[in-house]
Amino acid sequence: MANTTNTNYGNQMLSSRIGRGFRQLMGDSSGVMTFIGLILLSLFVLMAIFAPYISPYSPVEPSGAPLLSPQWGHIMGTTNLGYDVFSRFIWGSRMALLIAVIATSIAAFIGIPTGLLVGYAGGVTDRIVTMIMDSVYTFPGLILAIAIAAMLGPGVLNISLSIAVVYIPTYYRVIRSQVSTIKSELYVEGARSIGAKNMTIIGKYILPNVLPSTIVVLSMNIADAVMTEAGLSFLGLGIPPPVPDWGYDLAKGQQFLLQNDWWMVVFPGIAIILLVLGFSMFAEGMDEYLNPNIGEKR
Amino acid sequence: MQVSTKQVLLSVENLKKYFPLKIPWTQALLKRERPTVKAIDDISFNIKKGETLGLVGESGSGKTTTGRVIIRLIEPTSGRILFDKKDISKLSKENLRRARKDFQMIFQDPMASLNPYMRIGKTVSHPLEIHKIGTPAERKEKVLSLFEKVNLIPAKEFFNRFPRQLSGGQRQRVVIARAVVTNPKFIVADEATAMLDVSVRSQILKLMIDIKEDLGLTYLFITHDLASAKYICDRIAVMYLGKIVEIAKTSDLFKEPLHPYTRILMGAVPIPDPKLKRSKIIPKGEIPSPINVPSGCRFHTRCPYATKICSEEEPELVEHQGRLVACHLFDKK
Ligand SMILES: Nc1ncnc2c1ncn2[C@@H]1O[C@H](COP(=O)(O)OP(=O)(O)OP(=O)(O)O)[C@@H](O)[C@H]1O
Ligand SMILES: [Mg+2]
Repeated sequence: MANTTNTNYGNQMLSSRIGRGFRQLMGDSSGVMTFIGLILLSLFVLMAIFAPYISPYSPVEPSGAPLLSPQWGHIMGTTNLGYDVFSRFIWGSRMALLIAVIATSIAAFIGIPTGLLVGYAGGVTDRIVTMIMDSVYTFPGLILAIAIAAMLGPGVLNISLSIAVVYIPTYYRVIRSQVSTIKSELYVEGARSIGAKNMTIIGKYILPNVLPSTIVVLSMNIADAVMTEAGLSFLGLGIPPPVPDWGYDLAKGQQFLLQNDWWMVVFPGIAIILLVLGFSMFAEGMDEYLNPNIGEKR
Repeated sequence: MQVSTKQVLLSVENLKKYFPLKIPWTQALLKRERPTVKAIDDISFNIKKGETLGLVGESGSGKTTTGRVIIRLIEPTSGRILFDKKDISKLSKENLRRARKDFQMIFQDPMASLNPYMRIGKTVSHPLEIHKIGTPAERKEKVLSLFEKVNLIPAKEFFNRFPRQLSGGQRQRVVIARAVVTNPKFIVADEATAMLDVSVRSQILKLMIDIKEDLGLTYLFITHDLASAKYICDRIAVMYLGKIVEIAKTSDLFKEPLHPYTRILMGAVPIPDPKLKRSKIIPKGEIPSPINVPSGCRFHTRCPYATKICSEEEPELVEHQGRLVACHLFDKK
């Protein structure tokens, strides 16, 4: 069985590897990294919120001739159907963030309480649940999401759900491993000695102590969910067109890449990369800030 | 025993605590008997109301385990624990939880015994909340007055602090305040001063004595520091490898330790005046493993007076000149 005692958020999380790479690159200036990540994030969040006001055209109606190269009026060109790529770039952030946030919330909502309860209970329950979670965890994430998405069919909630399933074990593992160390801390024994009920101990003495690492997992998780969502819609398992979605646009654009219409691929690609980078850098920076001693243990 | 049962607050009878050893389950299937750590191996003692009983012994002798078991933070393997004439080893989970306001524990490490994410005001008022004592305003009032009593002044300012903003001594004051906030009858103090600076140690000891007198408390004072035991305890029980080998009044014990182990411990007490330094007798070798306890008297492997009988027969804790000692040297012939 996998060793889960250290605070490693799992190598399955691509974003954690990206973030760690940046951390090594930046050396001591991880504050700068967090800051850049935060700026990237804010840009995309603002873009998503104000999409109706800043996008020059409707993202779901033709606004010019098909396959225009980037030019004045269509700074990122148009698609094969004459949609404005820049408008889809902006609106695409909505779908990406929406699904990532919903998926992450579902995963957190299930993974965190399970990790808390099972980690606290220990014993046979712990072994069984951990075995199940570990087997889901070791399964390749995208493939699992594809299987579930194919089963559930399209739709925002279904996509979110299939992504969530992939990340429940990540929360579970991080929380469980911390709880199983924290529960033998003296202050937890102290709580028992004053007659606190188990639920009080979990809620007031254990949860606050695992929350900092939860925040880190949360933001890494969103980054990964963005990628998984893009992957699903790239494969045609995402939100049905014409809803603006980077993954779908990427797949569509790929068909026209051979005739040198690069803009349909490059811009959605950049959007995905920047958003993922933003979350990863932010997460890794927060990790160092919240757990200053973990860096050395790795 | 010598005290009349009327004044006895806590009475421990034939208490045992064996920890099963963690072994791979493949091996566990093959072995019929699981090996155990005999942390406490049949001890009996009692504590009178208002008394401070010291529990001293080397590291690993089972002192902390004794403290934990008698307030049932861990379950005894067997034996009875009579607290105020009720057998608390038989209490149901919920009844035990309710009874907890009457007995508390002060832990060895003040850094680790406070929740880092809970303000200390809340930490100290939480026991009152749990046992539904008073209104929120009354609780705060009580905590503030307690802070003043344990010298966390200004109390209002300390109320909102987090443990990391306090020194070790201040944290131990918080721990003491939390332990006494529900007006308990009995407190287990497990090496309450061991982790503190020498300068702070005597202040905390004084505080514990003051609080005890104020609230009419009874202490089990666990320590391996004989100097503080001498300072605070009325009687002292000496523990070795899960057994109590001697119980005596503090003055008697220091005047004339009976058990060879106690004598050796006494020799190891640091004496402030270098000219008076006694020749130190340090027990030969290491303390044996509590998994394979030596046969007969468990101290015979290190005892300078050991004879043949010591490795064959386990001595009982018997009365000798009004004191209790478990050693063949004092067997009544
Ligand atoms: N939860 C546990 N599981 C297994 N063994 C334990 C457990 N707690 C204590 N022990 C063992 O029981 C024995 C007694 O330990 P205990 O902590 O009571 O000693 P102590 O006298 O308090 O020592 P110290 O002075 O170091 O605090 C030791 O051998 C210890 O390893
Ligand atoms: Mg101890």
